[in-house]
Amino acid sequence: MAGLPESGSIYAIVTLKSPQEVQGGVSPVFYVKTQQEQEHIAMWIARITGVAVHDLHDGTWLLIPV
Amino acid sequence: MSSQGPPIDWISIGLGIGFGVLVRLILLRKDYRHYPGYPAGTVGQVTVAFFAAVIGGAFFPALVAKEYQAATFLVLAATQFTGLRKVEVAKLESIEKLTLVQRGTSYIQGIAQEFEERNYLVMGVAVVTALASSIAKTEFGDFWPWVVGGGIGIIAIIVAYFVKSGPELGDVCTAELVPLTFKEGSLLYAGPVMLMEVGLPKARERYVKDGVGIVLTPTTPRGAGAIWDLGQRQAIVYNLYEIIGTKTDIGYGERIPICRMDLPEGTGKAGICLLPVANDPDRILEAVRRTPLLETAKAHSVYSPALIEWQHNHEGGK
Repeated sequence: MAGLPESGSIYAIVTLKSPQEVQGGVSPVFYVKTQQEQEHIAMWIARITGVAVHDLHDGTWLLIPV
Repeated sequence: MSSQGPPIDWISIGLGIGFGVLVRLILLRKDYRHYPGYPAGTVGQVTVAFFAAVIGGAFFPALVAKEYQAATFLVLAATQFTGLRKVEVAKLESIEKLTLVQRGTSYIQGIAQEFEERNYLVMGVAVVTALASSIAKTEFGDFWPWVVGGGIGIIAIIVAYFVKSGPELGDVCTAELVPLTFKEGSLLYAGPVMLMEVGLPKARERYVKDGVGIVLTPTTPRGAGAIWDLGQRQAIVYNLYEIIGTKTDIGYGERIPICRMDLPEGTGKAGICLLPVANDPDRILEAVRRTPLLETAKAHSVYSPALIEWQHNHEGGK
């Protein structure tokens, strides 16, 4: 998609974990408190930017450009 | 033209051009791919075919009339058809940015090559027709060029019709519909083939509700090689997107159809996920089977475990 970073890079992180456990580096991190909030934020970012959401199954979701 | 040799054989040239343009009109049959679709595109193709037919039709009569310069120029003009392929590639590549599912470079090269090669078919038919007619005129007299030229022209058109396009995916693979399932929470499977990780619960619900899975099993070594080829797999999903449609748009990245191999086992089967706009099982399978087998992919041949199993089942069952 136009305007997105190269496929395979991490665009953003949405996590239930604490800032001590997950830190951003090059991509922004969204800290959330509930799974509902996680779904909400991940879906909005995905729909707005066109990235795909991937679940690491440890409370952290990665948003990756397709 | 100066004429030191025999007079120019207009009958042969005319027959060559006529049959050359006729073969292009027959090959222009609009199929489900609707390409070229618009009258302007059709006119363009027929015009280029006319040039090709003139080159082919005039070649031997020019040689017979000892017009060597003319014959040489005609050969030079034939090189121009390579330019057509480049134009076609540039055009298709430029519209890739604005399609939701890409054709991929392999498919683009295949389409462009076919456009170029059809002009050589036109030239071939025109050369053969004009040659036959020209020989008949010198050997038998004035009436025979029409009969012999016409007869050979019709045979050439029939031959051209059969060599015009290569095999389709259905010739080397079987395709079957399977349900889409999720394992380990978020891994999307088409039958036994894992395709991708889908993180959003809403997207997973959509795949389970509306999605269709397809499993490809190779039936020949060529088929087994072809579906390992990324360009071939992209061509399959592009064909599905073009003919069936897929419920996706910008912002729905996880809904783009993909085709992946059965890994980590590497059995040689391939799986496809699709959110069809028109959920008609027969049309979906037809779209997969009628995907052209790309030249870049059909050179490979592989004996994958799935192929060996298929051959065992079908030869043992006879």
